[in-house]
Amino acid sequence: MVVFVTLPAGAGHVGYFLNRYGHAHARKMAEIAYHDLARRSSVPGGVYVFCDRERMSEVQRKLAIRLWDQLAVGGESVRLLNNPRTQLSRFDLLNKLHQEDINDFRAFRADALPKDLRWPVFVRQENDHAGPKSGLIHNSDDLWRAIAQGVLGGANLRDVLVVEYVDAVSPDGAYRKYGAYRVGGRIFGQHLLLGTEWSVKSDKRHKTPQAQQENRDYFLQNPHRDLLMPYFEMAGIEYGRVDYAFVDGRIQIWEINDNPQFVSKKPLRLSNEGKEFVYLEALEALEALQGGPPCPPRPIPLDAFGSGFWEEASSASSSMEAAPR
Amino acid sequence: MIYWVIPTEQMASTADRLTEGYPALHAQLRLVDYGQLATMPEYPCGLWVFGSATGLLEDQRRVAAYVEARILSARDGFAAANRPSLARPRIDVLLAIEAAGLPVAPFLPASALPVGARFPLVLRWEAAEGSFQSSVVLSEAELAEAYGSMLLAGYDPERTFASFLDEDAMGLPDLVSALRIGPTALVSDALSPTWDAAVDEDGKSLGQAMVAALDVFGLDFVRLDFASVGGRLRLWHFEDGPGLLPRNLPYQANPSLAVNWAEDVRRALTAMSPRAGRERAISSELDWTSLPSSVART
Repeated sequence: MVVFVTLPAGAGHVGYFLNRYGHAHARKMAEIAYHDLARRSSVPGGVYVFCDRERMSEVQRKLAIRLWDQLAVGGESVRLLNNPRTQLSRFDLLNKLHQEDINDFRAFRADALPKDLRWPVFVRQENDHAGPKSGLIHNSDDLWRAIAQGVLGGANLRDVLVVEYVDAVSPDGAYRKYGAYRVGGRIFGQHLLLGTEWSVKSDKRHKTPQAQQENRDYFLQNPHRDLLMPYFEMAGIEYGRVDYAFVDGRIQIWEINDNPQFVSKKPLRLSNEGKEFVYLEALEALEALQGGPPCPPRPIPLDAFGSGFWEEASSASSSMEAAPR
Repeated sequence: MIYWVIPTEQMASTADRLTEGYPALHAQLRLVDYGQLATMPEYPCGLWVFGSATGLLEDQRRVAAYVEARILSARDGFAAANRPSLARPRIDVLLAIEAAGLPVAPFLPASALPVGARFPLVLRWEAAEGSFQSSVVLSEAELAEAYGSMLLAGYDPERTFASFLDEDAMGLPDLVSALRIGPTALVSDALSPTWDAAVDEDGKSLGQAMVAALDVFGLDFVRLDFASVGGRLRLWHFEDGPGLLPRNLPYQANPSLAVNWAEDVRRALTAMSPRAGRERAISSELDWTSLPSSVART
């Protein structure tokens, strides 16, 4: 059993998968909220995927680390993915990718913009996966208006990211956005979207036979498998989906989502490539690597709110900015 | 015209509430999403009510205050209620009211827990009307579990507090309310004697003292909920978001009285609205590049 541990904002993905591909798979995967997991006095052994690090406030991250450490005591009975102690935030990952000369573009927090910002830029939020919050922006006044809109909408100023634009258009005039999953040791392409706009959206993707063929080939040939693993490692993400493109033949990483939807709540169409089988195989491979006795796994005691809880909660909350409301 | 600025996530429910219970008010009121303040080409004249001002995040409040200053710079024909520039988090407001010697149901900010906790208690998130975010907590172990669960679910510890209950309390006390709309106070019958009773030697009533305390934070349009705790009616919660207009109207059993209530609210809000001035609207062309220094924290 692979258990996805999520925040409320990231809940529901397992349900979408089961609704789409059949509830028989419920024996293989489950989902639980962090706050529900923390209330348990013990949990069965298995694979636990810690999702939503990117959405966490500092206090949530500290409490998630407590849960991680307590589950880790289970030794071979458990396998834990996405350590919240070491996983990079989106901002830190983008920073590192630029510093290591992988990404050509830079990202900044809105409260720490440099003087040499390279225009155009766009605005997005650190803690959601909803893509750009603005169009391309060419001057400071429009930038601050967009930032103000985000802050008035409920974002903390430091969670608003200003990202320099790089033009990823292909010679044929199409923008190509790739999305590839990492599930433990496996990487497979999930989608290749082609579009005419710089921010390629699923609902505005090209639906031509050629675009569909490219998407199919991407999945079947899995051409970037070896290329992508180091970036997941850099981010400290063992389960997630990387979104990326190529500029002049060089990879540019937009983000790595640590709680991606394999299938949306209302899928637009039936997939006919069998991607779900690859996904399920990868999940099964995670269990196989557990190492411990397969059945019944040893229960692991949890005491999330016991000794040290108040120190942890108060140290994190005194240093934090407001969490989601 | 009244412009009621509402957080994005409350827009749909507010529109429903107004349509169902306050159709006359709805006709002279426009809902504005906070995010729209940055994109509207101009700000029309009228009364601008900043909903949930005490619940805004600090950055959000500062940017809203920046817009508020622009609106009020027009003077003639423009007015603002629940001004973000004066608003503070609800826990701070409750602490200030308590410090003024007015009756507030005993509580403790989460930052002070677990020291000082007295059981039974319930944990509350400041913006949640009436209800609790925990069951009744009877021990420190239960408190840790309830509070930790709230933190993991995303509640802001700086906006979470513990309310201490009477020993025999098993749930939410009955609430009685007063709705403050500028100089008007619509007070429920059960609260009236307490509201009108003198609280100092000069004969100032509780209602007058509460209004003076709310003025410090610019809370002109607000509902105050009182509960009987320790044998006395004390302030339990106040609401400055759209929820301040009860979905279940007072005197619901009598439709004609319900209409009167909605009409009273409309009339009081209209009385707060400014007279028409020379300008019908002002440009929203703010100097956004000066925003960083305006929202910079000291």
